[in-house]
Amino acid sequence: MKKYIETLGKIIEKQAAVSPERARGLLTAAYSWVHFSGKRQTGPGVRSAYDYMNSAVAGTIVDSLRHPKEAVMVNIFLPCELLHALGIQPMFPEGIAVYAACTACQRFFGEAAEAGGVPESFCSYHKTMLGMAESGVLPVPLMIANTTLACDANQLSFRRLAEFYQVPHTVIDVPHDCGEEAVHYVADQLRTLGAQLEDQCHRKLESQVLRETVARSRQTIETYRAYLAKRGGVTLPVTMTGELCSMISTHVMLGRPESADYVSRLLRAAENAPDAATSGKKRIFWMHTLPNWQDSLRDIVEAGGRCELVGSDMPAGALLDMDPEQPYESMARRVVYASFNGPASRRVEEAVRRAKEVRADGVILFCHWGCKQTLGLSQLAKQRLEDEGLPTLVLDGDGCDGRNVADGQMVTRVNAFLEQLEGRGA
Amino acid sequence: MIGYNCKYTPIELLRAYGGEPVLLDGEEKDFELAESLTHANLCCHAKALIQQGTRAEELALMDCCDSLRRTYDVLCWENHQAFLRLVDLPHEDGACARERFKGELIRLGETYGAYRRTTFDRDAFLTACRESAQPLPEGSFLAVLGARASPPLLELIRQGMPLPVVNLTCSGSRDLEPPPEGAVEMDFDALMAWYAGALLGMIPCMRMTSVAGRRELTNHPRLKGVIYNTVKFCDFYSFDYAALKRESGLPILKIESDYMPQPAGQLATRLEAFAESLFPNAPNRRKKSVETKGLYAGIDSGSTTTNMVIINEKKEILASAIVRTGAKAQNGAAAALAQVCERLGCQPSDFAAIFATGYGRNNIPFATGTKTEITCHARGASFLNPSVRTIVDIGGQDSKVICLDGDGGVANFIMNDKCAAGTGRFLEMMARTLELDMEQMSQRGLTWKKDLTISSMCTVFAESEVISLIADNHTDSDIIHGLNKSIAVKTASIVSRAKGAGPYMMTGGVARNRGVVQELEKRLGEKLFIADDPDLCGALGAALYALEEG
Repeated sequence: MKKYIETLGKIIEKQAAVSPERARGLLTAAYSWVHFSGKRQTGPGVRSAYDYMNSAVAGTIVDSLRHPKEAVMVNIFLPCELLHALGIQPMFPEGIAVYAACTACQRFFGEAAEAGGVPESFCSYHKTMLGMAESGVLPVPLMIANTTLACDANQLSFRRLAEFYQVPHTVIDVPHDCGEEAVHYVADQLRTLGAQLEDQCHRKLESQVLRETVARSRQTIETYRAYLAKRGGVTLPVTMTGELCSMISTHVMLGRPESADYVSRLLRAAENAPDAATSGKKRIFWMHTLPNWQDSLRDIVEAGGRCELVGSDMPAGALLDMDPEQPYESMARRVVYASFNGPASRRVEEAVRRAKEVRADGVILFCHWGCKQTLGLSQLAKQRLEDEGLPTLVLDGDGCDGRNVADGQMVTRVNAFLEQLEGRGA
Repeated sequence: MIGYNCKYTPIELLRAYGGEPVLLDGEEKDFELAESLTHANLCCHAKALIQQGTRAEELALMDCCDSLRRTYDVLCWENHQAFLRLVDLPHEDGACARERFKGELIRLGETYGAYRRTTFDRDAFLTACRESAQPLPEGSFLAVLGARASPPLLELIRQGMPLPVVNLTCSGSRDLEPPPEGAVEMDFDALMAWYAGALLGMIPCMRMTSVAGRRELTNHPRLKGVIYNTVKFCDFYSFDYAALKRESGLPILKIESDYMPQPAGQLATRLEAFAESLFPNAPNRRKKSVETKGLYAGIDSGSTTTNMVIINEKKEILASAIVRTGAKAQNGAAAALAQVCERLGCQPSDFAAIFATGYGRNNIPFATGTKTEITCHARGASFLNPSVRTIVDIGGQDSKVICLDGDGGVANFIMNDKCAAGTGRFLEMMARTLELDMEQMSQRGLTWKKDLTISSMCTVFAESEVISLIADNHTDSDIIHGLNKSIAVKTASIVSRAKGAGPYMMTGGVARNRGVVQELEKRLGEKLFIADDPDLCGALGAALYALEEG
């Protein structure tokens, strides 16, 4: 991590303890800088597209910090077209925590949450968000809305924050069983959420605007699918941050014009990229979130010259057809049939399909600290992927909290895995 | 027999189809099989259930949580059962959720009936529904709340408590409402609709969306205290505990279990200390009648050292000893006793009373009474400095924070769990890695130049981090300072959780480490009071109890 970012992180942590508003001001300034610097990126490559999307995400976080009464705290799987159609910003734990980690100030918030009774074994994304909220750095949002998909952390952290902030809280119960009965059950809850959002923000949810938003979601999904179809044949300098940007553009920011632009830029980059055979790098498909704060892994995955990230399962987990004429059912279908819902076999089979589609040589299954869903399926996934000829590394780590990471051990494991893949290719 | 995992399991329905439901809640001696099939950091109950599930013929699991969903996936993959089903349990209890759950129950019944070749027996169903209620004791009682507790753990708790103990954990508080009138003739669909509502209407567990009903558990007028259980790597109940601690005035003891046989020492200490705080004037169980010679002894049998303090009737300290405990508690105790006898020129029979505390307190044959180290530290600290409100004790294998009330009694306490992070053992391990002794660790941590941070919370991870820092040519002093900070962070977090406030006192062997003390003072924003012999506080408290109660 750059020295000036570490210095900034230390200042923010110090301020968070004595003046949360000042810490918020520093974070807002830092993310505004990311927002404005990325906005100017108009180049043709994927790195430029990532800067663009990163800028859009930073802009969303800045807006939610500056105008919290125009922001709703959500989880990554909540269909946010309702928010976008109403001009409301999503505030989500993965974004907030990753930005805190990349600003070198996450540790303070993790410790603050633990001091407040949050268990050490809890998901670090949610823990960081709780720490930022309860230390007063995250301002009070308009309301909180979350799905029960994909993890138990949603049931715990959002309920606690709703009590802490004293704001309305809506939970969208997503059945474990995937089927049309479940779709209608979820769609009805989304209709109720739409009405609650209208009440809270005192604006009408225009059905035409919602249809346009869902149409943009459809366009984004179709374009991203086209990108994945091309991805198998080409080599691209994909980054961990880039895959996180793709995850956000196909989840909480799905339906926003920036997401549609972003995936179009990815597709154009893939159309103009060199043939995969020219790179000589091992092609890695990633499962679950990515620790883009961790220099040592970025050095290997992005700059090492031995491997290339070809995709990850989170952005590709819910690329379903959407019908603007049935916006609620379309949004509901996306969560009910998401590969992260239902038995582990759904997620694993989708990963097998996607890894083959992008012609991966191997898979890294990242066990993010506290994610019981991923930890629980890790050995099944490894066995199934390897049965399909995809060597798999189960890698323990943390998407945002360095306290749970044995850095040297992770580096050794990834390098050994690459040697294993190189040995196969020889 | 059909194994099940959760109170929401429709066990009455399974009985109606001829099944014999059995709660799978046992402990396992290790998790070798489960960890080979999943991951070490999965909820310990889920790991136990995987191992027990692989041995079961029939299983009906509720999709309670992420870990249980994956338990089902693993068992499906292993495919050992003749009947295995995951029941989709809604998070809500509204009309739509009840309707969905009704359908799920009917499907479960049909599948199970087809498997067993039985039909729905309404009489058996209604009888099972009527028998499901668990009456509370008539007098005062204590409750185990929180995450499920294994039968051996419940037994251990019951043995240590002075009142009847009721299991109100997530697998214990099954309070199904009685069937409605006319249930005998009711249409099957309507009966299942009632049943779905009755199951979802039980006092909610923490995975449900609305948990307001949980306070019913702690509002009972005869409930006198709570032992709050959390299971390692299950996150749900730490949240509930934090809220309960904030909102309830009941005495609460938090414990953490892991579905493996408990090391009796640490848990017994907590349970006894809790019982002592509930009934401070209860007679001591090991009291013996001895001839008074004016000498009173306290002996603190710890994991690393055994400490002894002798006082007279005027509460003056006459002698003390600190010896290595060694392999057996009684040997260390005998050595300490011999040392003080030699110093005072007296015989063991000259002591009017000897109270033992610490992990080995129950294994010291010459002790005439016992008290837990929690209570003894509080007593000793308050004797040494009556203004102290919070004691931070970091010993060899545990660290604890004890909050005192205005009279020097224990108001609240928190101990670390099995993890060694933040304890004296942690420093010893790191000293070995750095090839230094403890005095050098204490000295060198004060002369640091570069502010290093040891980020890992885990002792094992921290050790590999230290090795990396050594490899990067960082100085001993800088690394030790990083370690001291790490202990201070961990300890300050426990202080904060216990809602500790100044003035603070630090006891235990680690209080001799000036580097740790300095970092902790920075974190707490206040000077720590440290007695001349910080290791002797527990033994002093025991000696005072020997004088007062012996």
